[in-house]
Amino acid sequence: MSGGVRVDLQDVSVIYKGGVVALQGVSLAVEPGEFVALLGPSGSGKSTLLRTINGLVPYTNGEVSVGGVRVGPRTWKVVRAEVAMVFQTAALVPRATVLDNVLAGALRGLDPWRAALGWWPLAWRQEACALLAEVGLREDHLYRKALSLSGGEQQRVGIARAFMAKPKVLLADEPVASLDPTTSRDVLALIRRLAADRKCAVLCSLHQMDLARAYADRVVALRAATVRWCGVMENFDEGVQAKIFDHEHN
Amino acid sequence: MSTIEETSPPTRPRGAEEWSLRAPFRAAHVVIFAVVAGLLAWSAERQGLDNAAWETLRAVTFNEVEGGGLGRASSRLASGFWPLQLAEVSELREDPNKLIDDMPWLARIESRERTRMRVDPDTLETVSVVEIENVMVEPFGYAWRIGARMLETLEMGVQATLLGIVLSVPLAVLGARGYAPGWGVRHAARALVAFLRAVPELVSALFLVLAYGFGPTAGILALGLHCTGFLGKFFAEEIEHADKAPQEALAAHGAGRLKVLRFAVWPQVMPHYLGYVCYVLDRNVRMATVVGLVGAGGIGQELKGRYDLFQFGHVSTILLAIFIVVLALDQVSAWVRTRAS
Repeated sequence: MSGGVRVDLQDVSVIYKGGVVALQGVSLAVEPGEFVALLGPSGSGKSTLLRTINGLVPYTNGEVSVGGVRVGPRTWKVVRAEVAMVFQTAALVPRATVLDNVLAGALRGLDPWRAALGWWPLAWRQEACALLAEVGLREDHLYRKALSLSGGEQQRVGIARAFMAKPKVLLADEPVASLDPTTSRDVLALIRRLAADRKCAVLCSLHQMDLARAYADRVVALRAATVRWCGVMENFDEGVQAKIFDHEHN
Repeated sequence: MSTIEETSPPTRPRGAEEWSLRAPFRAAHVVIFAVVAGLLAWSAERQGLDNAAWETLRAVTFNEVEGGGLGRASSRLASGFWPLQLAEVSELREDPNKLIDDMPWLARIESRERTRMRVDPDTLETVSVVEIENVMVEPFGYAWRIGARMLETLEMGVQATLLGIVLSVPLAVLGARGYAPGWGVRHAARALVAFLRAVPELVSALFLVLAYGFGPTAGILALGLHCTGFLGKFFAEEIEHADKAPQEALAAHGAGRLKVLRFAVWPQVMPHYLGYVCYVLDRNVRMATVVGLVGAGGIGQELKGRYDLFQFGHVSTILLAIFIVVLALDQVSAWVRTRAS
């Protein structure tokens, strides 16, 4: 684990089928180990930006690279080995057990015959247990179906799954948008702590200013498919906020 | 959004008592209903349903046994179907005293009077002669035999279902959008599945009996191929309708297509698959009796034989046995479904 991985976006554009421009000329960089909050109103392109980094959304123009590797159809496997993701609704497999959901983060490395049988190596299962304990779940959660958990618990399982992949970069797509304020703080604190322990960079989209202020090192603000503001947390004041979110400044 | 305020009219919204309501149905609905009803009545007349209804009504209300064909046929059938035949009666050629030591369980020997019509060689007239004959009666002999044939039928159903699962799962994956290797393969798989569904099992059984001879093998293949067509379609649709979010999440962590299928799709579709499999098993056991009619093994072969001999008491025993098994399967599938969900 020598050093982290740098994420670089150079002048990236994404145009969906039907001509919807989701991103236009976006450039930004995430340094190893830093926590970057991605702010912006709904539809400003936050999700699309995150998804270009691990290749879930192909970009039309520009260049995205992770650790010096250009992201594209041929390099998805390499890139996804470094980049994990946390989703808004956790995106767990609803009928699978909590343990299986966590282990799924490490699917990439599982032998095909073991995958067919669903037979995970014991060491991996123990690692998953350790992660589950770290995100604050208990032994009796292990074999419960994911759909029987509360929203906050599901998101914790989603985080455990992401870190099971041993990422150097974590993409978090509105990880707390469907959680209550207290749980939101807990979950963000958890992401920050786990990422810091593993020297993993985090790019996290949010729409609550106060949470960004509390947990992020740096802010990238998007509006209407372009980056409107980029800087350290201390400079992110009322004026900037109004510029991003207020209709009058459009 | 501010745009709503700009585009909405400046007038005050009407009170709830002034809101305009749509009529529950309109003239068009009446016309459509009349046209459809007319078409159905015309078709029923073409199919002879009006006569059938009239015959049924006469047979039921006036009990006209002498009347139409239906009355006669149904009264003969009704009397023939009762009592159920559970016993097996076989003629004894040898001396009953020799047999007495090794008789089947519960069996007994009866002497029966039997009237036979014979042609007198001298007068060339038919005369009735009363003979005494010894028969061995096994009180549950026939029930036992039906049980054995029923077990064979059940086995046919299970094997056919197994064959259907084995064939339909790969076909479903090849035919599911998002998992098919290409447009051509997907449509080929879909077409094959539709073809298998389109050929009735009775028809394929007719041909398979020619290829594999009389017996359960032909029946199992016929049922298995037909249910492949059924399962392949529904399995593929379940794969397509599975929640996309977990699939995307696993792909984002570097899982390949097959692993996503195994770990994100399979747990989601499994309970639905069990439901379909239960239904297909139930159907295969019922249809196994039907393909038996063309000689493809199972209880249907027995049923056809007894029907052709007008032994309706035996036929009703067989029907009762099928009914009991179908009822039992229903309970099993209900239990499986509650466990799976």
